[in-house]
Amino acid sequence: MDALKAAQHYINRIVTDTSGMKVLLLDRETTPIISLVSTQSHLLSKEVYLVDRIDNVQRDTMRHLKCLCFLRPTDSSIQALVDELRSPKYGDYYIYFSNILKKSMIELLAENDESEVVQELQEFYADFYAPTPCLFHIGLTPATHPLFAEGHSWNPGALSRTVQGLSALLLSLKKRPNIRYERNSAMAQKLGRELEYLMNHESNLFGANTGDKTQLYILDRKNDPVTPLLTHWTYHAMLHELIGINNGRIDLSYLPDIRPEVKEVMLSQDQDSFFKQSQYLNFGDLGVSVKEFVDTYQSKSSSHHKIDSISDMKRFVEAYPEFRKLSGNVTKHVTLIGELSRIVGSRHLLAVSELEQSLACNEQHNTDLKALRALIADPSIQPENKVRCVVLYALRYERAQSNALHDLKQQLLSSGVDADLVSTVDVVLRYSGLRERQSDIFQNENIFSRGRNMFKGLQGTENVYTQHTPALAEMLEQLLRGRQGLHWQERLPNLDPQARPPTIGNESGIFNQDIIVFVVGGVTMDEEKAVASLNARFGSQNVRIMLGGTSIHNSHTFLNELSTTFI
Amino acid sequence: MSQTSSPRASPLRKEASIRHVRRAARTLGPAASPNLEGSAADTPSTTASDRAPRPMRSQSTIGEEAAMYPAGGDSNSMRRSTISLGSLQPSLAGRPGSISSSSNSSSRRASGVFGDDGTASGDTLRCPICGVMAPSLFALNMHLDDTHFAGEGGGMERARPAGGLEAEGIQTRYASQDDLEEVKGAILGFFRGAGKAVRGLSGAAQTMPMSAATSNHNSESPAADVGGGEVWRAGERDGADRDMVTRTHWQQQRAGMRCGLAGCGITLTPQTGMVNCRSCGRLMCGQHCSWRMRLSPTAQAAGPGRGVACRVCEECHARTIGSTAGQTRSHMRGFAHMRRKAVSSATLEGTRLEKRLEKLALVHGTPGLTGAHGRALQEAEQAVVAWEDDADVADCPFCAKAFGRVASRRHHCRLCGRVVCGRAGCSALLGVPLPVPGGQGFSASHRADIRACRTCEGVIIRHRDRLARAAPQASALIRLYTQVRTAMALVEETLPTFNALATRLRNHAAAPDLPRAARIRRQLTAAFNGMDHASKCIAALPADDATSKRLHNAIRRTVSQYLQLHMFPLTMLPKPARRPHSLLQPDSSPRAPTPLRVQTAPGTANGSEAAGSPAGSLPLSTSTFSADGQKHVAARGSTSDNASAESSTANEISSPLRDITAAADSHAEGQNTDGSGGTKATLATGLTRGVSGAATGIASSLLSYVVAAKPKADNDAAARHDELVQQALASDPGKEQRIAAMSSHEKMSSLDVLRDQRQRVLGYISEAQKERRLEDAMSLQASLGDLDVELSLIERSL
Repeated sequence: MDALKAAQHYINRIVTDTSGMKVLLLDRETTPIISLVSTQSHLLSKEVYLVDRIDNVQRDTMRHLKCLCFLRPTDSSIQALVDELRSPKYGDYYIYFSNILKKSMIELLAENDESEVVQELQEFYADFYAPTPCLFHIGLTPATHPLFAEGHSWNPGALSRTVQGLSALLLSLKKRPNIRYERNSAMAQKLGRELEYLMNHESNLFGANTGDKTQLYILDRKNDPVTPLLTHWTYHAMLHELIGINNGRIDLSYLPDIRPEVKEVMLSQDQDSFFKQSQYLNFGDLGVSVKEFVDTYQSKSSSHHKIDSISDMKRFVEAYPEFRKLSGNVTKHVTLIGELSRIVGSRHLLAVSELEQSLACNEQHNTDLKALRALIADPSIQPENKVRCVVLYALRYERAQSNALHDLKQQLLSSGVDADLVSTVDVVLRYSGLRERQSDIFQNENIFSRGRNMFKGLQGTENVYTQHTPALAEMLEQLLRGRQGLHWQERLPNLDPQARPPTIGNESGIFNQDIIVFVVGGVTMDEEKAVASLNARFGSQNVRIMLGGTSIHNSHTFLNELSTTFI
Repeated sequence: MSQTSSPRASPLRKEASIRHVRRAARTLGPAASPNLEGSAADTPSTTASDRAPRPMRSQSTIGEEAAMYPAGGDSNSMRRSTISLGSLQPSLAGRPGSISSSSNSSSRRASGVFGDDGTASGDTLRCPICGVMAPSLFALNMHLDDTHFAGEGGGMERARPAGGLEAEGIQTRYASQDDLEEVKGAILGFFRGAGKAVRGLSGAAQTMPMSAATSNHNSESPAADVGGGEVWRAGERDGADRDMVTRTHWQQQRAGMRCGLAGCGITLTPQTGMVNCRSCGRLMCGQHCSWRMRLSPTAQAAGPGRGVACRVCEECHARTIGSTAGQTRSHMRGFAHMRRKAVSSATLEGTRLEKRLEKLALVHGTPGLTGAHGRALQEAEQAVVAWEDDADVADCPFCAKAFGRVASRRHHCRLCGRVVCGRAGCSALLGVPLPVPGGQGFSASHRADIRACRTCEGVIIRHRDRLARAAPQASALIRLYTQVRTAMALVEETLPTFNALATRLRNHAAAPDLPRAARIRRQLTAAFNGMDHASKCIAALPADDATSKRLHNAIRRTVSQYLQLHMFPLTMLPKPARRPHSLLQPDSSPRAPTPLRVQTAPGTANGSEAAGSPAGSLPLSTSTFSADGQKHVAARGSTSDNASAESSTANEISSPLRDITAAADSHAEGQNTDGSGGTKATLATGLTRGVSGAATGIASSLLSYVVAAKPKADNDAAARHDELVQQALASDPGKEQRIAAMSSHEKMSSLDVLRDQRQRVLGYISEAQKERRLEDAMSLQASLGDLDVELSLIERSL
């Protein structure tokens, strides 16, 4: 269960199944999918010398090239391909679609391939974005596929794209899972039904429903609105929260006097061992780690400066490409971490985060309120961060008797925060207020959970900025440990009522469990980190968890998406 | 005798026996387990069944295991027992001492169909009370019932020695022949039924080869000897796999073994667990061998739904999962079927229009009609295809604009007869070659313009395209690219062999493989060089458009990446160090004490040594000087075949290398141009400069033992970029002193040599300029400057 490998497998097959000089044609959506899991030099090494968009009409005719097409079966891509086939610019065509083709599409293509240039027509299900091995997403953005139609219901376009993406992932992993969904979420249920229908309809693709113990949990973001609102402190999560990662790329061009080679940097676990090591480190450890990295580099570079003998040189020549890569990598990470620490300092994120964590984890209304008022009054704090804290306050103390939300909103307005921004507080409450949630994420709804919460508070935490654990991680851990099975059966029912209640683990102590968690409404990097650590812990017991979502959120994109619908 | 009673065989009896065993085990306690060692050691030839571990485990697990056994796992033994029961009787009847071997052989004979007897019966069963061995659970149950439960008779027999006890115990049970027959009949009846039921399941077990079965059987004892509880518990977890999957490849257990998984390596103890991965056979700690996979009897991964679920290690699991990645579906068949229709109709249409065009060309070529653009021509054209009536069409079918009298005239497509307008998008004039008057064929120069509508034009164009496509095309690019690929294929093929040889050579210096390695090496360098040359030609091909240029550059880039990846390690092997040494040494050493040597290379002996074995760690400056010395040796030597042969290979290497160096330079320059950005930037820039400098240095050093054509020049060219080297050359404090210390006679002779050298360099420069190797020429110029400096120094001192 490795989303990255699954996608890479397909890409590798596409480029290696055919030999000769090749050109690769992509469409609007497959371009980012491929660029996330492959590199230019890898494509070059497989004789793919040109990469172009199929909708680019200015391509030159090159009959001596073989043409690989990797496209999504959308109407626009099919039309572009039909145009291409009617006047073929290249020699042979090897066409791969990233999802299930309709019969009419095949007919349309066949009618237009008068020159008989098509040599291959296949479905390769790499129809999802795979930034890390245990994370995938569908890449829905409000601009291309708005998620909600009105309130908590699917926009049809987003639904069909999500079903396609999720089914492609299942096909690429050869899984036919048992589907469970969050009971209170109509969207999760709808997605589950559609997926179930597709799996039954295409049963020869998905295989018979036997012996597969894979579980697919479809969750809804509205049950945990807290995680995407917090400031996170691990490397990958911070990069996404503070700078923003777009398909593995970070755009740094907004920085003044940035050097051209780090204007846009790539983050990839495959290519970048330092990133792979340190993506889950928190900010403090990251500093240590990057210092060591620079030290190794410096010692290496000083040893390279001292080239006195031929054997030195030989060593150098052997290490030279490696060394150049290393030097680029050092520059990249030093720049990124420098920028992160600048942002943290200038936005006073440590102070903000402390309050956020307190709001998210501990029930102490008066203290929180006081701190919140002080924060809003502080002019050096960014308006977005103030609003985020107020949203967290509103979510936690929604039913508190001394709820001072109205005052706080007034205070926000009077401290010069934009009225639109202030209205996001109500937006989030509408999206995910107490009425909408089914889980007691703040553990303050009844006396038992209050007690537990108190107890947790007494234990103390070593790091005040990382107290919060995503609800998803807690859920998975409880499920894996086999705790509260009935409780979860209640909250996370099977889509198919006949399905046996799943048993995790067996009598011999060997778990054998693949779990795919899909969050409607987007996942966060923090949850990815939690899943990765669960994988590390339970991996030896044959438990493999994969996390997916309609998109990868940071607080900004999360609030943005909600603002389009729940206003 | 390997009849195993499956749990199904006699549920009641089994239950009872479990009760007995439990009770018995309770009374005996751990004393039962030591017995195992002795028994397991002598069991291989017995008809042991596979339940040996049981007595050794705690009492409670016995029942569990029995319950866990699925029918599939036992089917094999069950079926076998239907036949081998036939042999039961004779062995029961007599020869108590040799019971096991004789019955074994007879059962083997009887069960010839199954080809084995030890396969499924991995172990023996031992009575937990008296320690007697039983061939199967069934027999053990019977034995327990008889001996330890069913009355006084059994109690007496408890004292009997182990060897014959079992048989006699059973014999007492079947006191009369009638009883025996009755029981046998019942058992046979049951097994016949059961055998039918499980026939489908046992297919895999039947196909197991005999050899695997036997050795499998033998390998049982060492594993049993260890007595690490984990092994058996592992087996117990697997349940069925113990019968089905071969164990020949299992790693033997020894004390102090380490976990076989790379990166774990903890010492295996019963606490950590020691488990053989059922797939690869290595011993692992419990944690790293906790995955499950379905295996075939040969311990290969079986497809889903086949084979037996077994315990395997992390690596095997990951490998298999990786290899079965990704569902795909091909639509090519259906597509080709649908396409056939479209293609045939298109071909038909295309040929028809081509025919019409031909007729039209004939019409236009007819002398009488061509001159008068009047009625006659029109009629002739209408004879080819009927025209649509003007009055019927009010506007153009393509652009939908209304026809007018003047502005938008009606035209007729001469191929289909439709009325279209004359705009560029709607109709076009096809230039059709006219037939040669009076002769055969069509002329190339005379053409008639024939109007065709957009549709017909497209049909004609596609039709011609289709025909043209069938003809193969060869271009310079294709030819060169094929060269590149052939060279790459050669490298892929020979590089592993060469690397293996080189490793061997490194370890054993005087290996007989040397000539072979040298030959392969020559092939490889030739391939690299050919690849490099071809890709350069590709990059230099004239490009009609930007895309072609991009393509050519991409190919060139790929090749240089490839060379970087594969050629650098190649040049770094110890081999070239040895070869120049052996080749050059006899040639160069007699000439060592030339005056030149004294002058340019301070340590003569050192110099030749350095040139001979670049692996030596001489300072850079010395080695470059010594290269000069070498050069003279080669240049002066009338028979420098060896040296030049060597140098030619070295040259081959050097030329791509220089490109890479140049790339490094440009990289460094790119870095230099944006010198802003604080300390980090300067650090990186400085570093890259150092890097590129060093790279040029390397180029120079590699070239320095390339003895013939232009090494010194290259040295200096490199040095020009490289501050380090330059300093070493320029500020060599010894130089002037050396010159000062020389006698005037020495000065004179060295002056001669240097002048000679200068002439040579001038010659090289003109040659380089002739061949348009401008960078070489420039670097040679620089070296000329150096020579001049040295000359003037000596002249001044004179």
